[in-house]
Amino acid sequence: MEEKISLKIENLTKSYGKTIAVKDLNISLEGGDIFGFIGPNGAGKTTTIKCIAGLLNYQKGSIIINQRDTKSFSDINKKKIGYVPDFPFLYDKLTGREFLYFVGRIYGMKSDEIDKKIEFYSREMDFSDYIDSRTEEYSHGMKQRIVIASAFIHSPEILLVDEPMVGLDPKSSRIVKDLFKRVAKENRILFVSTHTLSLAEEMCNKIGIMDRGNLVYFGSIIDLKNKIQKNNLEDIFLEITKNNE
Amino acid sequence: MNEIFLIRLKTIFRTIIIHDIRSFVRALSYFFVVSVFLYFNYFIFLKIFVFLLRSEPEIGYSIAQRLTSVMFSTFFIMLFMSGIVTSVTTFFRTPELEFLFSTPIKSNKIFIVKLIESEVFASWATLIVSIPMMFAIGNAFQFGPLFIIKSILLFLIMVFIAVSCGLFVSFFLSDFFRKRSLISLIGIIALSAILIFLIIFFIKSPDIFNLPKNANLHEIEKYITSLEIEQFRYFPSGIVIEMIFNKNVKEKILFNLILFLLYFILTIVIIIVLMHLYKKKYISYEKVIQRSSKNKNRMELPIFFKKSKITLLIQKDILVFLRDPSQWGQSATFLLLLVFYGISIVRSPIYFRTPFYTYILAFANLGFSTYIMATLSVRFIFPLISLEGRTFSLIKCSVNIRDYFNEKIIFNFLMISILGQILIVGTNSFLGLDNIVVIVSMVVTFVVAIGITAINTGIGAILADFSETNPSKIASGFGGIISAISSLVYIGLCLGVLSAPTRIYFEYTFKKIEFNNIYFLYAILIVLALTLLIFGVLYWLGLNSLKRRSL
Repeated sequence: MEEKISLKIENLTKSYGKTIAVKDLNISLEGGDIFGFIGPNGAGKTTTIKCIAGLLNYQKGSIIINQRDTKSFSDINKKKIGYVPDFPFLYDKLTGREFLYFVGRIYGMKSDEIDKKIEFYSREMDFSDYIDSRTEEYSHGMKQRIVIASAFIHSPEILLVDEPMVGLDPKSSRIVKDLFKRVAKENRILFVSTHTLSLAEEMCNKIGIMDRGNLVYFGSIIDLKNKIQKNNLEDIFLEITKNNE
Repeated sequence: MNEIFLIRLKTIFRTIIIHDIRSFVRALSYFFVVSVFLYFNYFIFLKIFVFLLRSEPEIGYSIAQRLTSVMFSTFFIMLFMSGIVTSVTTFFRTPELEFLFSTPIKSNKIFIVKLIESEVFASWATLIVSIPMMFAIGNAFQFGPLFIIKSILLFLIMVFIAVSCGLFVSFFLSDFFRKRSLISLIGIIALSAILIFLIIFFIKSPDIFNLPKNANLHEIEKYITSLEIEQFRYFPSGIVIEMIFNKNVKEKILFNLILFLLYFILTIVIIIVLMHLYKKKYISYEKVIQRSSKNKNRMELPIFFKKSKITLLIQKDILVFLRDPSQWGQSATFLLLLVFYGISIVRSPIYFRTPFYTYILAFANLGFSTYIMATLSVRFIFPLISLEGRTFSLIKCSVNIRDYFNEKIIFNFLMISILGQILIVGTNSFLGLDNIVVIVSMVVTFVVAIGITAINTGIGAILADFSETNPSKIASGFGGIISAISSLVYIGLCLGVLSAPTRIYFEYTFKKIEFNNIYFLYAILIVLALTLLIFGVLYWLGLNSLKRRSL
């Protein structure tokens, strides 16, 4: 029987010294969900994503991927996760193709399989013109596209994407959005942290609003609009997080 | 792991690959400078050892051994310190780590790659001095090629042990970095350093040697040989020296071999333990977010400085420097290095009043002090302009670049000059030298500080890398190597010039002939002229490079 893709975060608490970054966070997602994680700067979004990716220790709670606690299956779970950090990292002396090969091999993929994926993503994400140039020559948007492709290359079940639209031009934004929609159709989970509210409004079936480490809303945008009695997500966001000022 | 190594090799290959005339010239000049430097080092050491062995055959062997022993002890301590600083950066602070840890690569594989990186970054500066020295020893003592292979191998194992010990300390420091505030951490390190110093000083209080002034050569040799015990004999550096020089005593060979092997095995055990701890340590390593201070620092300046952009920039540099853990981590390391250096000086026979020996020590002290200044300059001063990073564009469009460059020169000079003067005055006072020697040392240190500042700030501007945020990597890159070599060659030239009047001074004092201080004045004037020439050229090149720099 095929395993159902799921991500459950239960009572996650993470603090830096005396400062609580994330407090008793509870989120539950299933395959096909595009989850928009929004909140003001310093709300705890990146911390949460890093905890899920296994890059940060947390003091309390659990992160469960496909019914398995990540604390005991962290290395296996890494193959199920694709992570796009807020600041893209690339080896500047490698070309885009070499970097994608490197990532593919890390995830245990075969050469012909990597070739196919590179071919696919270079077409879909429109980077075939510069894929064989060194990444030190790339603009921010070019780097971001390669990094997103590298996170997708091993077909992870859960994609953690931190601020995907920063520095992208309209064309690149459209390409990335199309890719995200296709991923959701493949019954995978897309966990996107963003300040671009239009992205959340346009793509996400679920959103979570963080404010100073607390999840102040979790559910669908339609339910939220009905609850607050406002139509514009920006107004709703400002209404919910106004105490942050 | 093979893939990560492959990437490292590709990066090195592509950094040095010749793909146009500019990179060809760059590679050629790099090769030339490194070759000249290595040969220069070899030549200087060979001259020293040959002089000692041929001119003073009765005591030359012991002095040569003693000199090598001091060098090895210094190398060992520097490698240990360098290991702490480098591994904090490579094991915990490199942006690559977040990427690697998010993939299924096993943490022990990441550890091994980072260990190799740390060993290389921490030891290259020592290796380019020590390896020519081994060749010089082998040639001067006519030990043969097997000796060189054996000594280089032993030295490399010593490097591995020293850097790994630094890594061991840095793993514990990582917890300190995480949990402690800046002030408490500096306090802990300073107190620990003082405590270590006092413990070593009181437990192993130095013997007071009182050799009669009319001692014969046999007594002098006995005395110099006895000094070896004072140079960390049971440290890996001391054991390597014993294994290199004392070839004939079988019991000693066996004892040293077992002890050295024990150190090596212990290091491997430590490495394995750290490898298993690494993942846990890395994911626990995070910055403590401190609540904002109630004392709002608006970078207010005293009224008479208000209009000066230079003082504002200096204030900014001081604040950034003090708030950057990698910088103050290095400062703390520097403090520890000074403590160890101080121990060496205190444990030197300061009651031994033979002018020849005391002044040799004073001259060596000047050499070591300026060497420490040069090493620290490459670590601290060279990366400063690169560390402006993207904010350099803000500086370029808001500040006159000449003002900016002047500020860097002033700030760097003050830093290195104050440190150098503290070092030279402090150590000379332990040696109880004549006022003339202390004053000459201070003047030379002042002049050399100008030269070192010009070299490191100038080359730092010419070869600035605004994309790198890690000061250790900047310092160990192409520019750092050029800067280090230039600084060391400059110091070598200065000391070479100063050695002539110093030698005459030793000789005259020894023979009780009146010495004319004008010799020192001439030498200092030559050093000053050389320094001004270097300053002028590098100031002009550095400033123009920053002016032309497109971002």
